[in-house]
Amino acid sequence: MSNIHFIFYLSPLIILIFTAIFVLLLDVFIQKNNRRLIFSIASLGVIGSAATSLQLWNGDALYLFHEAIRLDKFSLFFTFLSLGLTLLTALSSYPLLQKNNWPLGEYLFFLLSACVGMSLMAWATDLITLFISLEIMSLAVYILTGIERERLTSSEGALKYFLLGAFSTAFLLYGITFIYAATGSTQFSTIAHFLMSSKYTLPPTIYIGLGLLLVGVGFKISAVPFHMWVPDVYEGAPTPITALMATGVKAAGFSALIRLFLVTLSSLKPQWGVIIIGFSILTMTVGNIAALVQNNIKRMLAYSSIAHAGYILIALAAAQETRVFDLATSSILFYLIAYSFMTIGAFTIVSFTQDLNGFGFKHPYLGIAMTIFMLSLIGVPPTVGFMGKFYIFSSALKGGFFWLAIIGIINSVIASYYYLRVLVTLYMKKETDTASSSLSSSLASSLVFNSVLWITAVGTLLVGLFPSSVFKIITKSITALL
Amino acid sequence: MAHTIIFWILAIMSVVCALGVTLHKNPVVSAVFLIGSFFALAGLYVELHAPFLAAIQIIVYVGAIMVLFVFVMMLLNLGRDPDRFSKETKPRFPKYLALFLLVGLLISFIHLTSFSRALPEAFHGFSIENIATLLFSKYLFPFELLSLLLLIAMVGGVILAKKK
Amino acid sequence: MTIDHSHYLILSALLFTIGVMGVLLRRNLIIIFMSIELMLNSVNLALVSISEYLQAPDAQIFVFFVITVAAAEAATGLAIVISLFRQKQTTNIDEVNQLKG
Repeated sequence: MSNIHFIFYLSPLIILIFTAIFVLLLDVFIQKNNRRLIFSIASLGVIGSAATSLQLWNGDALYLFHEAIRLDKFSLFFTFLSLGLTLLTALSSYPLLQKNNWPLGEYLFFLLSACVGMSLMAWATDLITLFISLEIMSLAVYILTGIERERLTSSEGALKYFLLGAFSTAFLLYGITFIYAATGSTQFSTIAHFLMSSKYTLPPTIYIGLGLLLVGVGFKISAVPFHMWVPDVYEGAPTPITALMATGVKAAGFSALIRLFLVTLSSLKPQWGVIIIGFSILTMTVGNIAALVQNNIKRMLAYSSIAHAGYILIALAAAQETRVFDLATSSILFYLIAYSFMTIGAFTIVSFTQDLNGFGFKHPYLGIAMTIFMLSLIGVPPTVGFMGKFYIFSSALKGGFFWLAIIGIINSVIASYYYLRVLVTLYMKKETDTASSSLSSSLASSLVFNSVLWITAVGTLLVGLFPSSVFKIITKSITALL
Repeated sequence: MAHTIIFWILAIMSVVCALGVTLHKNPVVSAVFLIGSFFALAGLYVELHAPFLAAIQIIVYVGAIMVLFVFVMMLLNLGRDPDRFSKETKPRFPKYLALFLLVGLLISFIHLTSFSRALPEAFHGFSIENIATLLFSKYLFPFELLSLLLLIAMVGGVILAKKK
Repeated sequence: MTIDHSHYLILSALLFTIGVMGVLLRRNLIIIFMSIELMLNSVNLALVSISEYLQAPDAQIFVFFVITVAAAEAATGLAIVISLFRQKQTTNIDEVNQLKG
């Protein structure tokens, strides 16, 4: 790279990083009661970053920095998604930030850094860049999980997340090492070329590498049997951060899976295809069955997020059939959008109160919003959850994965039980009289808080009603992959 | 021949020290074992014609990371561990099985791959210049990203560990 | 018997498994962290030996990256332990059980 153009191509990330550092410094120098200013600057940074990525959308795909990263519609799609999720998370944590006296500048700094990590995971076309972006995202989210230092469960969640995260990172790194040993490169394009052109039997170390990579990524997307940490961490973390973990972190993991497994290691399909199918069946079933017996809504949503990762894995398994590659991969991206809308919304309500008895009568609008999210999580038309499931199951059927689709549909039916139970709690239980009611009514009138719910609820319905325009954009970003 | 002897001495030292880390009751002794294993690995790096990395290994791991560990142990005033392993009643058999599977698979697959080329006598490793050139050209982007990672770790350490 | 690169890789696999053993079996948080450091070190050993086997300096650069990441992780992890220790005077993971799981 001899010219200065890379600044233009990297502008979304550069803006984010500069905003993050600026906000961090500003918090030191500004008076404590001027928190709104810091918050607005951070939001502006996210919006500015989104605007510059929009500028780049129509450009050609190109590799940067010796193929360390690739700027194409796929990476821009995931940049948009992470930016949107970061903004929603920031907005939904704004009331809590004011109430709980969290360190605002640092909180926003970690949130924006996590966003940089998440976006870069989709940009990365080199195992080393991928690894470091993953670490940036993970470290920021570990710290965000433990940022409520007065609450024991927050620290405990951070600890468990960190332990399992660092453990899985070691596996991922060992996998990268063996892949490098076998292929002699960490660049995705070189690895793909090596695997495609090698006429002899591949060195056996590549299979260890593949296995260790699957273990490492399995932890990150919380695939069963690597899911043990999920409920505890999701329950312990501050609720907006839980929402970010369930949506953004997972989306970043899937973006890496798509680039790494579907594109780069596609010659090894016979080896990883079966494992992904196994992961998918286990993840759906265990997630749903465990969610049935949960009493705490945050833990229930944690298990439900495991189950939803299982549905996405169906599409990943189906994408190994070349003829449905486009449809299956697009359905992954669509499902990630769908899941983001409904989950951010549901967690925002949960951050408001975890006691949902009679909630629907006390706060009618919030009750309607929660009803929409739950129906969408079940997959009732015309919500976005239905369209997401529809695309995934139809790609599985077209790809010839008949049994996988059937298991997925059975699982969705089981899942409807525990989502409906939430609706029963909302409208049919007597409301418990709690002292916090004055606090929640001040929250209920908070503009920022309501705007998150509006955006997610309207998004859940609108994208569900008009999925084809979103799907067109997604298909464009998928074709940029190859 | 000398290389073979040196390898075996260092290999046995590193494995013994690693077992010491994971099995000893007292965390402070474990830390000392870990330093021993770092030194053994540094010796192996020299054997593998990477003296610069050996130096970095000692400076960063022993000089910085282990000091951090020992400092935290001092801060928390950790004594001996009365019960080394989990008291939980769950059978530990699956964990042992997983460990045996892991080591068995790793070793057998490495064994299947032919790394038969013996260490070349003529090869004297890469100069610091080679490494630096590569670091600041081909791997510039990940190198720059590391600065963000270190900033996050630094701010995070302050935020989480400072007194209220 | 001459030493070739598979010896180094097998040694690294042994060290990695010992690290995994420490994480799975020990209950003291500090020792679990040290076991994770051990795992990362075994990765470094594998990388250095591969660098020599392929006669390419790239893997030595990866070792730098791994060392940096390990340092960042150690700092963050130990900060989390301190923050937990301030609230509950323990480093035994079995006693960290507010969240039922």
